[in-house]
Amino acid sequence: MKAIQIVLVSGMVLAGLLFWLRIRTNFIVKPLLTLLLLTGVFFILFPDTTTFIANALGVDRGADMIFYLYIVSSLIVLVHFYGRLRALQATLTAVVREQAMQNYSKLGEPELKEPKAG
Amino acid sequence: MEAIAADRVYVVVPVFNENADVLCETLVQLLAFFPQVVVVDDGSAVPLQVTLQDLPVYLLRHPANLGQGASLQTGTDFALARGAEAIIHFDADGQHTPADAARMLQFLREDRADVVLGSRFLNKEGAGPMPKGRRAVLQVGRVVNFVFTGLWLTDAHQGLRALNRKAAWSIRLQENRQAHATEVLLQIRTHRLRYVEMPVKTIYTEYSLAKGQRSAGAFSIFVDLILNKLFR
Repeated sequence: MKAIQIVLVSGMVLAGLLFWLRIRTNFIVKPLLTLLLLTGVFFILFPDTTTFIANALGVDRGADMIFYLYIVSSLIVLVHFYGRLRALQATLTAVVREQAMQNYSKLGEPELKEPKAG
Repeated sequence: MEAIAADRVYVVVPVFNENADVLCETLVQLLAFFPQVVVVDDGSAVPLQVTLQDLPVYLLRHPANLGQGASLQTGTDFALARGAEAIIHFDADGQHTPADAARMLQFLREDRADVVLGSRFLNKEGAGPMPKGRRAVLQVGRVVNFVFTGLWLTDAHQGLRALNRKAAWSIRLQENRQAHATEVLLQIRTHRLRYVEMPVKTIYTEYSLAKGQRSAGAFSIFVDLILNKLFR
């Protein structure tokens, strides 16, 4: 086993652990991500298999194929999070608007003073 | 259709870090025409409570800065909740004239349209000494608006507009920032509202030019519009 493989595999295992322990997500995403991590570990340990798959897909090198897949998947993730950001902004707007509407004041009118008791 | 009573007409003025004197002057002029003025402070650095204390206006404050589109929607919601029959969007920097707003209202009163949009290019004096660069950007804006909304107008991105109750209910601005002007057009189309353009005078002062949008802002509006189409 080469040094870089140890580094990469430990990174994957750590990411997997963090993911399992900390992130609560639905039962579809969790197995999918686990599968992705396991595939990653497999490719790190047997890098030649990527070249085999790449050739079948018409790409020369396995590393190139991984790089292309990475670009596509990061774009998908980017779009997904942008959508979430917009949803979050819509929520924030609703909260701020609600607060502004509740706390309005009518200016230019003398404030009503409580008559002092006896 | 029954006539729209004067106290059922609400003018919504979005404000963000406006010069106090200019703002007060704008509001005083407005109040001479319209009794119900709603100022929406979009999280200005200095709260307006003291600045405006002598003016009989409604003051709403966003605790955080959201953008002009969001402010207009907040003011519109507030006005509708108070039973507004007509709502006028009016800029705080003194570039619009209340007389134009009153003429727009007349269109609504006569039930000739659901939405009245101001245009600076319908008559000669409207645009006045508009800088050439801005004129060019607005021409591009007209084309962009047409592509996005199918409405071919004489002006793009004019802040003065009047909506009747039906229009104000149907149009929901989701673009918090500047793209709201195009969003209004988009929703006019979606909700099949009757609209009309009316010539308005725009007073360009050094202040309003500095405060107003820079021409480069047009590009970010364009980006906002595309994102809005993609993620609705």
